Amino acid sequence: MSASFHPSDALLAAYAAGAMDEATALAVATHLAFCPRCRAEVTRLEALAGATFESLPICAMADDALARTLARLDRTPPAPRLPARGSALPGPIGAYCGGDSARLSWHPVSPGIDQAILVSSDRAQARLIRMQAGVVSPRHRHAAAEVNVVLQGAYRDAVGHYRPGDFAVEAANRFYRPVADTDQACLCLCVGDDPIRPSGLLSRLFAPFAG
Amino acid sequence: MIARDDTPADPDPHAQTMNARLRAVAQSRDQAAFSALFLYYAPRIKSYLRRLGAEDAVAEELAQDAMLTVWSKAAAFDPERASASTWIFAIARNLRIDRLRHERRPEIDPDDPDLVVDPAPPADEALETGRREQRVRTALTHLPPDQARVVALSFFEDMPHAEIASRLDVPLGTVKSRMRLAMGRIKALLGESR
Repeated sequence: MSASFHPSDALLAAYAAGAMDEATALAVATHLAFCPRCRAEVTRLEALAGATFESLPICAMADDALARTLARLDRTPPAPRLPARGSALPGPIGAYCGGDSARLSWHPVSPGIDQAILVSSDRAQARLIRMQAGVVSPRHRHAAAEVNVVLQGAYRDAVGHYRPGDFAVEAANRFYRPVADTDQACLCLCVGDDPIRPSGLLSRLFAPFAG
Repeated sequence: MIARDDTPADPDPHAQTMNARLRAVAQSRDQAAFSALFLYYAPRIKSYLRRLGAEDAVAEELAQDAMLTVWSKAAAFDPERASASTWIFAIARNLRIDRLRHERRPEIDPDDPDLVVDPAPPADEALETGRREQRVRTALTHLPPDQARVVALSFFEDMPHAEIASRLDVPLGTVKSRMRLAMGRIKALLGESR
């Protein structure tokens, strides 16, 4: 099944250019595993980047650059080509946990919701969020936009119903209350640069466990 | 055979030459072919890295290392998927992320059997790669300067669109619409013109 919610053209262009932090790039790459249309778009954008790259004014290399590089060739064996492995998680995420999310360090966030950090930097954080079937998450908002990419199961909020591969953006300073579908647990990749800001008494009680 | 107006009769000979050199490196560890690739691409990789703010000595070293990566990974080059220039651009881009930003580059493996596939691929998927990339190059040279500038800044200055807007002193919406117009032209050339 193909995705219904996609990254913006600007995000795909930034991904193709490499002008994006690792956590956000992980969200885009994960969506690409589910979405042939966005993969084709990234292929086009990379072709555009390759053509632009080729037309750059050249910058002279040192006189001995080629000789020095040739001297290193013998010490540079062909890189092994690893076969693509099937895994329960999409490839880009599998690379962060050996293909198995059980190997990650999971922590409870609120009743029925656990998280595991995949990438953490000063620019952005990527984490896996697992919601048990039917769980209603605390109403919350973020100071900056966040992205959820659904990996397994599904959830809905006031904006949409998100299934595997969907790239759901939570806008800054708006309130959200995701609800997992009742038939199975929902696993999401969640990327943002801001810990969740819960609202309401119940969430405040759980706040010490958040972020 | 009669070529249509918008379809080049032959794929770009320059791109064909570069592809053949990469294959020679992959198949027979051909050092002469590698040297020719080096002389053409290393100064462009260095230029790309300098544009993104690397100092001269750093750009020089990374350009050499990127070409060593070309040497070691040549067998992974697939002309069905990308031209030599696009493939080498991606190596330079990823090496920069690794060595200068100290981050990983999350990517999909195009051979991953678990990738969701499109039951009805769009028209340009059927276009042979060389022809597709040549059309992209043609489209690029025909972009109005304001659109070309936005495309170049967004690829080669590591700049979010908001910063491009302030650099060019235009509203953010203008940057986004120029990028969209540029992509629209390129897509039109790739797809609907068939």
